[in-house]
Amino acid sequence: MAEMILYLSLALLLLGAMVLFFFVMYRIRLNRSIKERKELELRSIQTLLQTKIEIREQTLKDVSLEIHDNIAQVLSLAKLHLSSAQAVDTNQVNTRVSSAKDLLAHAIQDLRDLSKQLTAEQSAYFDLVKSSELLVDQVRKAGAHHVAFTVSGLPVEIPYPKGIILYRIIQELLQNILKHADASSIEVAMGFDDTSVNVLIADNGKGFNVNQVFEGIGLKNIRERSALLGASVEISSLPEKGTKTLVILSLNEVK
Amino acid sequence: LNIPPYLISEMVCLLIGIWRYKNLPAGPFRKLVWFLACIVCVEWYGLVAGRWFSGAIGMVFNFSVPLEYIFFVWFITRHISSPIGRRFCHFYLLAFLGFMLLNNLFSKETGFHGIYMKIGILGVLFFCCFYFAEILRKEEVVNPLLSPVFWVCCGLFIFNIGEFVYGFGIAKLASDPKAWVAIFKALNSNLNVVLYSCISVAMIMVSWRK
Repeated sequence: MAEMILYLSLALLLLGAMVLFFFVMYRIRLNRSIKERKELELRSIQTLLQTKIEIREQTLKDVSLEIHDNIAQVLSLAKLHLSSAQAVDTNQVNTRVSSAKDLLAHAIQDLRDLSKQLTAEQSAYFDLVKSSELLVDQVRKAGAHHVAFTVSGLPVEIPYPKGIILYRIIQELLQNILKHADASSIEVAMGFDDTSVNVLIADNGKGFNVNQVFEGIGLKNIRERSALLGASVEISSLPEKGTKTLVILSLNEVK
Repeated sequence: LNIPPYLISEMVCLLIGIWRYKNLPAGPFRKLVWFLACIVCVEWYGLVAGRWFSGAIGMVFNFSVPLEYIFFVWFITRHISSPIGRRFCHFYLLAFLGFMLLNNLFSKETGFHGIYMKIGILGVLFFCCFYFAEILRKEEVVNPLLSPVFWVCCGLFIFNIGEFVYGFGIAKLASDPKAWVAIFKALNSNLNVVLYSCISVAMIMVSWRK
């Protein structure tokens, strides 16, 4: 009996030591995975910050261009009309003042649009549809492209920061078209259903061979950001047949 | 008078505690040093009284052994963060203390009561496991080897798991005429060395950290 108790004690002791050993090993492994997860979180925060900075820079650039190329020109023209009004007869004065008023109204409207764009981008509840519409309007205003913008389904609110990341993807895709595609027509279609948000951006530009073209920083950014969102990106393109990019974001990822 | 290894380890641990006392944080670790001083006194009393006076030392151990378990469970409780775990610990401590007092007051048996070992071992093992489970559940980087409390719990876990079968078979062993008791005493002594070595490591670590 005593012999059995002794052996049992020794066996339990060995078991206890093994349990402690495996406990420490398991905890160390757990620490490693926690560290990796934290690094991943940190990286996604950094990407998010980077995205926000890029959006801000792009917005400021757009605002600067808009002020320089449009509003400043309109205001200069209005000033010219008003300056020259002194040198002409009464009938023409009215015409010039009326033109100057029209120009000033136009400038005020443009400033309002700019203000709306800035407000939409900086809002805590990012309105993806509204911001995208303003973005498309900006491209349309430039006059070089025919731009169609459609929204189907009932838009869902994409919470911060996922909405802003998706917006940045749309912005990047449009920039790519403007820079490289030589397109005359652009289509931006947003679709909302019960399970997902789809964004299709297509152009009729020169296209490229998806398998052969080296992915630049822009496309790489789009893929990285989609991965951060948990969205899928499908790019289909053929030389001289335009490019279609479809971003699908599952609503499960959004919640 | 041969000083057994377990007593040497307890005294070494106490000396380390006294040496690092000022660097120990106020709270359980400082109380541990006072507790060690009491334990060493009791062990010396047991050694001396047992050998020279052949006296009945069972009654002293009927107080010191349960108090030892109670102190260690209290020590672990102070490092458990779950409110349910703490409440359960407090309930265990009060129940054990009450049982010990009543049993010692009303029991007519003068020898050592093995029931204290059973209750104590089960309690310490349970709360050590509770503490380990809390460490495992922590969603932050925790290196258990750098945690002084983990070392104390390791020592307690090893000691009590080694004593588990002995504690539960103590009644049967007492009636065994063979010399197995000596082997168990040796095992117990070695386990004590492990326990107090772990406590010494913990005290050195916690004082350095401070």
